[in-house]
Amino acid sequence: MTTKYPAIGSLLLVLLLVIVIREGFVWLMTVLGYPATGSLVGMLFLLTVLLAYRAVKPLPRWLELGSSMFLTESALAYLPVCAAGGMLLFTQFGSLYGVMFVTILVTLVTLKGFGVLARRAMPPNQAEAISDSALPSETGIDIDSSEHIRNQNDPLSQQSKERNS
Amino acid sequence: MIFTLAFTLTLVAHVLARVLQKKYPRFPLVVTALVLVLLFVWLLPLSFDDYYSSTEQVFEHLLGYVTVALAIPLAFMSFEGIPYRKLTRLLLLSTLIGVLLPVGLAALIGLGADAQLAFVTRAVTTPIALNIAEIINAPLALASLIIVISGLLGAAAVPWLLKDVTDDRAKGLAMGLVAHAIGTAEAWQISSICGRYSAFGMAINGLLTALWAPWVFAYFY
Repeated sequence: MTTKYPAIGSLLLVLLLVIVIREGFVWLMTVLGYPATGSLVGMLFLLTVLLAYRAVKPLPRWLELGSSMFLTESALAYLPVCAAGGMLLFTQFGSLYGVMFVTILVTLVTLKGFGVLARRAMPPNQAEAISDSALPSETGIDIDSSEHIRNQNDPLSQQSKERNS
Repeated sequence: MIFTLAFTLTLVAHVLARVLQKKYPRFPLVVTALVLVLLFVWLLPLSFDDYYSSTEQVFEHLLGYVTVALAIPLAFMSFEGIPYRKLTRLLLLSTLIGVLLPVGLAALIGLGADAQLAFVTRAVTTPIALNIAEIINAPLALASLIIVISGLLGAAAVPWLLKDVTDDRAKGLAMGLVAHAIGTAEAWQISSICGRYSAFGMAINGLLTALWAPWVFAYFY
């Protein structure tokens, strides 16, 4: 994955982009009376703009590199809310056993079911043979080799399409 | 002072969880980090309420940025070579089963109407889920708890429950459909392909559910 921006520059540009869009739409939706939908509307706006841009010319590589780095670390954003859920479960499990029973059963059954169905729905390709442990880290600049191998086999990747054409 | 301590311990938990995950790849990053956060809060002179209230606002912003950033991998997707019919069937099935199965099961074992409504948003990512929950008058705290537990459990169960699914595309799609944003965060740890498909599944499932569930449940409940 080559880009004229270094990895950290790509990350900073992506951060700037999402901060401006998110804060802008939270402000706008607050004015319109729906503050909770700001992030979601911002996401839809960015998706629409990027798809429109892509219809004219290929999306810049720094976007993919920066967002990949950012999303790899996105687990950090969920930590406090996950910890709150864990704490609530820990302290009130006795009164929530029915809710927990349904949650656990449904999550496990649907995860297994959709895993099997999704595998059947996907056309077979070499990506199936690629094991993660055999690939280098994807957290930073060393994304190139694994991305290259995977994207060549990934029909959902625009990179694959461009390379093949 | 409390915020600095709370933010630092969250960051340290995340970094330590990442180091542990490199050594033990079967440990899901989110679950390890969550256990470390609870452990740190227990060890340090800090109540959980103080920890949560001091970090809530900053991390709410971070969650918003992550939600917006999910548009980028979606925009890079190309659907050439993907069997549309199978994928459409799978997505429609997932939005229906993701809502009707837990609500039906909750009704079957005798849970109240509030708890049944809280299950409507079980498989939907938090920003969309809270909007749906508000429309159908579901209890927000219970709905949030169910969403978080589903995400955590889904992310934690992937290594053993989907060990025979070696295709990262299928694994990612299933994670996004079932374990939404927390599953997607975990999917990015597996690979960027897994993360991208998970983001796709999560976004489509959230949007599809938002299109029908609020109106159906607002009518029947």
